[in-house]
Amino acid sequence: MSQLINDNIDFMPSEMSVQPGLCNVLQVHRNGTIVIVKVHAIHDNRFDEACSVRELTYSCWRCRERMVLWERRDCGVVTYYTQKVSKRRFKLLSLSEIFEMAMMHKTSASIAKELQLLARKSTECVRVQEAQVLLHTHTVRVQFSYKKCTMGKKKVPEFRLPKAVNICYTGCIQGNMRRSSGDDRTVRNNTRGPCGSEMHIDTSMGVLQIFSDNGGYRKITCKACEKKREAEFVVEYVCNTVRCVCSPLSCCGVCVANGCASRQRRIAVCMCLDRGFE
Amino acid sequence: MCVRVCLDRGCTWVCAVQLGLEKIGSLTMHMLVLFASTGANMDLRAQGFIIDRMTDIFPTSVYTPCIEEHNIHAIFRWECVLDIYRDYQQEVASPRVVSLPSAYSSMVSARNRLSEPTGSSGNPRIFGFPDIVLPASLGEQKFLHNSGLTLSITTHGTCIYRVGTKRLKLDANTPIARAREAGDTYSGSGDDFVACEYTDETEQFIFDICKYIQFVLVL
Repeated sequence: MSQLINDNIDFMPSEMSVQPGLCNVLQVHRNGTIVIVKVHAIHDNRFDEACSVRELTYSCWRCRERMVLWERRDCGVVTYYTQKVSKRRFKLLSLSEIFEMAMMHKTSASIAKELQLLARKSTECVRVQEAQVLLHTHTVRVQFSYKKCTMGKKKVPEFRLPKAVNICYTGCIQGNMRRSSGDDRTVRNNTRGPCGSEMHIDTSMGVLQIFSDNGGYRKITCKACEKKREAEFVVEYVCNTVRCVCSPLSCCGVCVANGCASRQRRIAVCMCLDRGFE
Repeated sequence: MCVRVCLDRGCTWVCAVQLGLEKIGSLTMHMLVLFASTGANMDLRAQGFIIDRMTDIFPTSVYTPCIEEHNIHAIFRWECVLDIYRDYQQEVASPRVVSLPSAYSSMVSARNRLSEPTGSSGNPRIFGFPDIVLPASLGEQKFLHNSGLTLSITTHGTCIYRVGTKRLKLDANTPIARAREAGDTYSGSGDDFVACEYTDETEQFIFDICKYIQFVLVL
């Protein structure tokens, strides 16, 4: 069914209304192929919904004036029909129009063979793809969707609800946080952290950046967080937990607060020590 | 507070005390990214199913077609998150997305297609029509009014939701703009001076809005 829709999507409407209890038919004529989609809203249970596709081939011979012989092949079953049309219509009608008029007087195989012998040699074919869709009685419309990429090899990711992967927050802190006189590397090199921050702290819940002092206030940003509460926790943690007063020679240390800090927190405090904040 | 200090580079002494910094006010979001997947291929042709559906359900969205050769996502933009909420309210009033919730849920439970595998009880949770509550305070609503949403969708169903606060462009005719031009301080009243506020409820509202869009996409 997907293949049928994909091949003919440019000729199909995006949606089709469905009348419950009736056979709703969509017919598409395209390059000697006729696509018929029959939609029935007849099932009371959604589990019974189904669809099936079958392919028929109609060949026709224009035997003599006003006489057409049709051959219908359906999964190996061959049936013949003859059709009489007026002389004028016979000449003017297109193949698909003849098909629509065709039917419905069965012809025996022997007569058909005889007719074929009398017929012109050239035959014309119409390929008919017929899809039957059985749906729930409450269905009010069907929509046709292009799904060509399903035939590709790339695997479609599994369904997943929207989940926060990166939230950035802005805030403000105040307080004294000056460097120790013994560790002036960052001042000498005039280096800054990412985005020009003065201090950059990685934690397991996100990254905290503290920007330079602006009249006693410092702008802060929390990046790569997943929740506001987590970002606020990081800010509270940094503000309230540690101030390291270091000797002039101190360069780097490892500080474990509360004895249960994660690796990221150790790194965070390491950076405090490294920069010698006082 | 218990603090243990280990030194490894010949430091003479280190001690840890309260830093003395103080947080002022609440944190405000300026960028929010959510990741999702529809679990199915998306028909992103300009006249295709997804575009038709999205523009029908979300008439305020602006669609940018994808260029498949360059593997660029199809993009939907909303200038204001509250526009989506208004579309949601309209949907609640006259449902088009889910006209048959019971039939839909029976289908979902049968096929287990839209279940969320991370249910805490181990049982899959059904992805139902989200219940969105608009934050009550004016400050939160002003924040949402100033926030826009961009949704990127790939043909493989990967969705990226990006919410960002936009910089307000002052209309030259507003009293604030006129006061600025004249070098005065505008002493107006009303919503002009309501401060934006960002709370957990605001954040939850944004999450719910994105879930609603996802719901429309997959159903």
